[in-house]
Amino acid sequence: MNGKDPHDMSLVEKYPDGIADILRERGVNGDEFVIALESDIGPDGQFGKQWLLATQERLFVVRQDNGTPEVAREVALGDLNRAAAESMVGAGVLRIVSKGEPEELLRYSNARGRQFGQAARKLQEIITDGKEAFHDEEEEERVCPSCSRPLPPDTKVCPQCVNRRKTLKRLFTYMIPYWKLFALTIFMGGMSMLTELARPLVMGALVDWVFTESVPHDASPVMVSLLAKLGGQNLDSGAGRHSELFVPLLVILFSFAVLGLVNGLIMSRITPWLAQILTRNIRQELYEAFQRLGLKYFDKKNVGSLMTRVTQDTQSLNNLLSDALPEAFWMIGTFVIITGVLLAMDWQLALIGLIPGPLVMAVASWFFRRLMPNFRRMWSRWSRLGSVVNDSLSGIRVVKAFAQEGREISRFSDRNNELFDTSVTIERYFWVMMPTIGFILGAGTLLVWYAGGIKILENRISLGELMAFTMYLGQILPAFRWIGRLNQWITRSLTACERIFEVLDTTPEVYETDTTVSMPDIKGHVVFDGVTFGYDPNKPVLKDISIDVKPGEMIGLVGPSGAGKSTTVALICRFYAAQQGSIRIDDVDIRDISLHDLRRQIGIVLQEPFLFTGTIAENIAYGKPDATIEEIMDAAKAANAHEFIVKFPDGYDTQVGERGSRLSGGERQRVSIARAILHNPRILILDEATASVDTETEKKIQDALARLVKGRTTFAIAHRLSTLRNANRLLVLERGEQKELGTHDELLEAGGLYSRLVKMQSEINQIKAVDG
Amino acid sequence: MTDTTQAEVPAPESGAGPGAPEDWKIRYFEPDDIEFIDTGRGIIHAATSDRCWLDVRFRWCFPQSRPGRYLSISTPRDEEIGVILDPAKLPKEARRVCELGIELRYFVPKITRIRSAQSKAGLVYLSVETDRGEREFAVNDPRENVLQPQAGRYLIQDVHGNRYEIENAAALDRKSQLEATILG
Repeated sequence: MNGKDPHDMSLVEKYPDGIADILRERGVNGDEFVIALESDIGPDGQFGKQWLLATQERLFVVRQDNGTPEVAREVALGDLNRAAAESMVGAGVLRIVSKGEPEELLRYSNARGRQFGQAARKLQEIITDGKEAFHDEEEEERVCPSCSRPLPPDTKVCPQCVNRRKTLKRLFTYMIPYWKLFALTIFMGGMSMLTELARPLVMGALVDWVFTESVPHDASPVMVSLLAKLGGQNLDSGAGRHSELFVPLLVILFSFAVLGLVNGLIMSRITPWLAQILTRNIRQELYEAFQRLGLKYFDKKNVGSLMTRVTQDTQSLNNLLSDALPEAFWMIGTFVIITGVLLAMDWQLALIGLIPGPLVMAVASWFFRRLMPNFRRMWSRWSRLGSVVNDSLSGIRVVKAFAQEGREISRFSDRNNELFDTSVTIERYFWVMMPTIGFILGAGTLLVWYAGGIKILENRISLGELMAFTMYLGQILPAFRWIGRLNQWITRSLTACERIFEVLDTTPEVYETDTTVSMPDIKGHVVFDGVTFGYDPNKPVLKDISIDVKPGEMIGLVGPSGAGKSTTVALICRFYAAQQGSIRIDDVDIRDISLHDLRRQIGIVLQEPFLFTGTIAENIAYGKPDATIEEIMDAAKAANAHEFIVKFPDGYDTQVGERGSRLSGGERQRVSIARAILHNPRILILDEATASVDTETEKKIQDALARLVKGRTTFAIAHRLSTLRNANRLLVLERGEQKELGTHDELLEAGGLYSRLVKMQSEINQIKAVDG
Repeated sequence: MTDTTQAEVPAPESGAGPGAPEDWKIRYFEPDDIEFIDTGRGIIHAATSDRCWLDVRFRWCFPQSRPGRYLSISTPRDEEIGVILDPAKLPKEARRVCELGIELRYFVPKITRIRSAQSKAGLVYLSVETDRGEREFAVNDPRENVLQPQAGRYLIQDVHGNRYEIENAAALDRKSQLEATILG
């Protein structure tokens, strides 16, 4: 093969030698390729292979019918006018315009869409001599680089490839401050294990040396010596019951019980505390890490999946520390020691006794392999059931308005029945699995009794030894049922840990660097100088924007939806950085200004005001926690909010509910304005609400906004004519381009895009007035 | 692209920001700035040196976090006249009338003893003794309807929107304290 590994996301992938050979015949060297991509749809529209290869001068489409490569198309790039990748449904097509004639080069499935999209942009860059620059994307790889399996959404942690040792090692570093307590728990756990392991031996000794007259012919010298120390007499004589050992052995058993109780009580104080303290510390660290991350991190992530890391993943971690790891420690320790003891007691009987073990493991694995998909199905069906309930109850007004109660009941019934089916399936599996395993274990025990019984009859072992034997088997065999599950459990928990560590390891937003300029008193002179920006660097949403805004000036941003208005203000807040050009504030590049100083002096009023759970006073003072009561009330008064706030039974102490749900839209808007007023920013970003409110409230909001913007450099995404008229100048955007700049009157007179937008708005308002 | 002459803009102010204009600030009353007249019929008037207002309303601005301070005085049409910073410093008669006005607005019995508290089907049923007499009521979802503005202090809203207060749970008798744990 030639070219690079497909997983490194460059445009030159490995291609077959046969292709290299036929292109060499055409005078093309492998080193010249800037594009070498495999498509997965053939020319006949079936799944198949074609190759797109391009140098700086020529482009080839190579097909491999029956294994023999042939060049299906060759195009000189000098003849190309345009190259573009177009999305269809489930597939894409690479189209070119060559010598003025459009044609389709090849097709590819959506799985290859990203690569061919980049290829099209690369070709455009070559065609336009670099004018339409191609940027290497920092693309997130959605398949695991190790095993090539798809990655789960919103994470790069591959559940199959979690390095358990590495993750555990990192987890253990959190335990270092509490190492003494950990050492104590391990010691106590060890003591418990030893007492549990010694118990069958003691009980066996009771049977052999006290309750029966038989004495093992090959009684262990160690046992004899121990019993002698307990007061046993004539232990070698081989005759009679040694009743003098009765009480001492019972005392030992009782001591084991007491030790177990004491151990248990101590462990019950320490183990949960340790597990919780570690979880608490990691949860805290995780949340703080989220707060320090830049906005770009959150753009591509689902809030729900991030919340899962704080809630469910930390809970998985807690389960790992409090249950899975201690369980693993116990099981592995017990398994190793007991196996050793059994083999030492009677290796033949031990092998017979352990036969059921692997069988139990195999059966349990078999069942759990079938159960897991059913569990996933059940969780999914629970989720779907929940969605139906949430939908219909949240939209109950719509349901009733359209008299669709029957339909909703039917929808719910379908989901309910699906859930029922899966739940029954799962229960059935368990009802079969448990008796099956029980049967195997029971059969194994019978086998041991049979083989052991023969040995007793042949005086090769004693009854006590057989009893101890079966007690040990009783301790070890059930563990086989869980060993396979334990592995899965630990893997899942460690995967959750890795997802947590993934966030902790993400580079936080940089607030200060060596070249940071401290600017505690910004004047508010803002300059956009040829700014070009795209969330995807190859798809700019702002192109070459230039505007000089004087301190205290109000600029209205106008344009159709998707014009780039919100992006413009996001750049001022430095949530993102422009790819080309610069933004300067008071003649300092925005990238050099201390982020803390910058954000402290920028205020934002959002289109949909976001209030945090808490009181009204807390929300107003959010940007200035040390504000006095008088400052809070003055800000509310200026925002025309004070009057409605004091009318609430709890006044400023009124809880706003989640996201301010207890307040109306107009009330939330005014609280949001009060928050901005109190924050007292030098630069104000105003994203005007589009939601309609009654005329009186509208007037109050407008008055509040007028007070807010006075004297501040303001960028207002404006929808209302009144706001547009009040702006010092208007910047009109369309598809990311700067179309017009001037006052309201000047732009109306110019008769361009703005004039048309105003005319449309006026017509809509007139219609509303007539209808209303 | 049209780029016309920039309009004139106000000169920037020094400092961190423009500051608050004067025309919409709250009027704060000192103890001697305002008088109240009790008509004896549950109607209270207010008067300052320059004006009179009839039938005024009394509202606490921060009833939970700063009880006893910041009392808002408004007209019947909810137009605020001003805020008394510390009503406790008012002259005796003015203070008396203020307290009367507050009592007319706020009816929040203070629970002195909890006789019983039971949870059934998502509702918490309480039987209590208060400073205004005995009472039985039900609370829906204590997480939403029982607030603890300070440690040991509970504000309870029942299913009808009535309010009750436990000023200091630790001051209740032992049985009442145990019953109160059902509130969260």
